[in-house]
Amino acid sequence: MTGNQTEREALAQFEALLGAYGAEPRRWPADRRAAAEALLARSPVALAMKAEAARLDSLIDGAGVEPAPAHLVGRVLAAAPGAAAPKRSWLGGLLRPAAGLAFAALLGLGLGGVISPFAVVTSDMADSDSVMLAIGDVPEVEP
Amino acid sequence: MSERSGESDAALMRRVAGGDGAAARLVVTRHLPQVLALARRMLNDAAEAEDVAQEAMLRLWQMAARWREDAPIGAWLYRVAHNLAIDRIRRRRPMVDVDAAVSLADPAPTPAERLAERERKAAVERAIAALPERQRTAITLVHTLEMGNIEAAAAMEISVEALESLLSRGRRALRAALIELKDEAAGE
Repeated sequence: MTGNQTEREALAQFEALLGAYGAEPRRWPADRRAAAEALLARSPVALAMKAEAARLDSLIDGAGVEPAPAHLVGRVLAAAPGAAAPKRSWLGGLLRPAAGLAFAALLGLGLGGVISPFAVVTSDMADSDSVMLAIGDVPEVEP
Repeated sequence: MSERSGESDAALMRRVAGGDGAAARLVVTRHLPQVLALARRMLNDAAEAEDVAQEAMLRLWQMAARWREDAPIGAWLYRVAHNLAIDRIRRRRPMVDVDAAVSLADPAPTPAERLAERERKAAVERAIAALPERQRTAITLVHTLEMGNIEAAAAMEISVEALESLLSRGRRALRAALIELKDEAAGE
């Protein structure tokens, strides 16, 4: 095989490499990168081919990835492990059961005060619906 | 390996599994735009692409506690997103309204000095959107998401040779479609 033939084959292989991966050496398969760079170092034809491929790269690489919309980021983060269970401080952990008991006691007293007048004034309001109305705004209490 | 902190993907996923919100945000910042870009390119539909990107990320969260030490997050995510998008492509009707898909991704009217650049990008997106699905995916994995040939071939479940063939045909078609823009780029 002559030197010219070898060079032509090397250029053909380089053209195929550029055709698939473009002009950026970082995208070239590792097992072909050294030969391609050696060819570039000695061949102006290879350099011209690379420059031509780079022009297409400049168009393709400039398009594509944009920031994800905020609503999508929010949905994804809301589903991440631990996102639904906010961390509690140790003090909150100690106080929470006591606060729950105190609130339950107050609720019992309050309900007694709220429901009994209705029961006295109108008998038809003292059904289950009115009880639900009376306690409907009670915040959720954690154990 | 994580680019900025030196933290491995496995370590990052352990933090995610432990409920570390900062770790989850880091994963989202690093990978969600790329997953979305892949899905958008494959599906040519912004809303469907968001669904696929979200589903892929949710599957990642589910895997967090069982993450393999040597598994790269990006490659895993792109593979899952690719498969989810393929499922949707198989389910829907064969014709896709490319112009509508591009217009969804196209932002509102802009100042005159940015118009030419936007038009150029839109033309490139239209040309990419017009490629056959597998060529489009190969181009996106390698040129947009910067995946190596072995990773990209694995994501598409094809050989490296098949990937190169898709890339070559895709680039050839894009060169033909974008010849005028390419000449402009040469003049810059």
